[in-house]
Amino acid sequence: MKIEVLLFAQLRESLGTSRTVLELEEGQTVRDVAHRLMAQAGKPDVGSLPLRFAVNEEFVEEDHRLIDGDRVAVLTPVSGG
Amino acid sequence: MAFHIIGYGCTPTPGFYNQIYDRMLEDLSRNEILRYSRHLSLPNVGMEGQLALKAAKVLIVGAGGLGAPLGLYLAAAGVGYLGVADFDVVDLSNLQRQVMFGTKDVGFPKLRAAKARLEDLNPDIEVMVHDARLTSDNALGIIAAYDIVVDGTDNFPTRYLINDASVLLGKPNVYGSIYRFEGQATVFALGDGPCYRCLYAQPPPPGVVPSCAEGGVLGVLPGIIGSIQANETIKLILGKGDTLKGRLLLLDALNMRFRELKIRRNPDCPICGDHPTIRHLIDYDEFCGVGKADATADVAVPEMTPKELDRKMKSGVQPLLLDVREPHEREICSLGGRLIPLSEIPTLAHELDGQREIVVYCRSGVRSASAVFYLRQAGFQKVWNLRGGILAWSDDVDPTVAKY
Repeated sequence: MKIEVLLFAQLRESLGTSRTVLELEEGQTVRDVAHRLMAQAGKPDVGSLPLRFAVNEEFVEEDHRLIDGDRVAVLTPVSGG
Repeated sequence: MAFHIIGYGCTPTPGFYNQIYDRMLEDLSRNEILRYSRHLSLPNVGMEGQLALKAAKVLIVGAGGLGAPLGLYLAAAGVGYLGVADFDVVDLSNLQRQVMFGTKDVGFPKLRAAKARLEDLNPDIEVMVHDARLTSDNALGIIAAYDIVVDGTDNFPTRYLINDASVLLGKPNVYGSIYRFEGQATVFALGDGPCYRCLYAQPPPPGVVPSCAEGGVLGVLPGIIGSIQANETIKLILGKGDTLKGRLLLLDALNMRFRELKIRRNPDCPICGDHPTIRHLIDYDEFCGVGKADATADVAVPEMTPKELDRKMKSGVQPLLLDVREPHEREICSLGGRLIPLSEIPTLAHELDGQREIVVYCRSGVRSASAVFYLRQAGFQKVWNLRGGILAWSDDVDPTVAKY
């Protein structure tokens, strides 16, 4: 199944894009999206960031099962002010 | 003068509006009627709304990029009792975005400049300054005197502190945060809505998320996000419209795109959940690992002062200088040597000559301390941190090196 992934802030920078499409197995969860992204990111710093996921514009937990065509936004905390 | 309080567009904490509306005793002066005339003729504000603004007490934490538009717009709007908490001094590098200050304020306390600017903008309000870093010891006492707290801080420990204090006190927390070209805003701890811990239960490890000083920030970005926070604050006071409660608003200023994500209260949240385990304020530096990182930098990492390094180089010993900043910082100024950004040290450390003396530097000496700590752990024996970084080098050795 195809999952659209939106990236923000540091993840966007380390992956060099604000949007990517991942091909996942049926029944995989947002946690699998995280693993795939971390493998691509390659920077050890990014792997230690807390991640939050919103599927179709609503925050979900990591064990949320995805279905074909879902849009996953991946956020990391920012603190500037 | 009596008023009917009619339906609100959001679900407030019971008593939240009562507190404000109970204080609405004063009429507006002739001057105030003229000053606020565009509000008075505006549906959803009018005389009733303007008197609510006058009766309202709002605390802005942080007089920085977000605090500047917050202070200016909330003062201009006539928030009657406006608190500002900060402990910093105006720096020339603040003026690129902190529009509450002028060049004449550089070197003076931010609160002094803020109070003068806000009282000049609107002498009909009261500006209260809190010249202190918000801590677990003073936060509840300071925030309790206000109806709404607005988070304009620049660090995780204070953000968690404001969140927990606002939840414990039942005060809405108008949140905003920025990173380079991106910003976010929402309203936390309002009625049955979520809090910051519902979004991020745990803080990131220290040093992993760059500050505005390290990462840079588009000057107008905090102007937009701070203005959104001011807008939400005013609507909370008026009790009109839909607030950002339950919606995290994201702005990508580079591509000018707004998105919003629905966020709900987490029933398992340790502070606002159904069975809270946090019932009083904690040590937020420890929670965010900040104290630990400082201890590492102070105790465990061998250092060299700029003068010591200068003497060493003048005596003919040329250690390898290792710059762990980002490439764009290197373009601003440099002390020379090899450039390996901190995030790439673990993958590229093997390229360094372990037999040679290495002095690691960055802008202020914090990132380089992390690099020294890592390299020592990795077996490098002759590695030192340049204490105070380029800033100290410019002060103590070579003033022609630009500070930024």
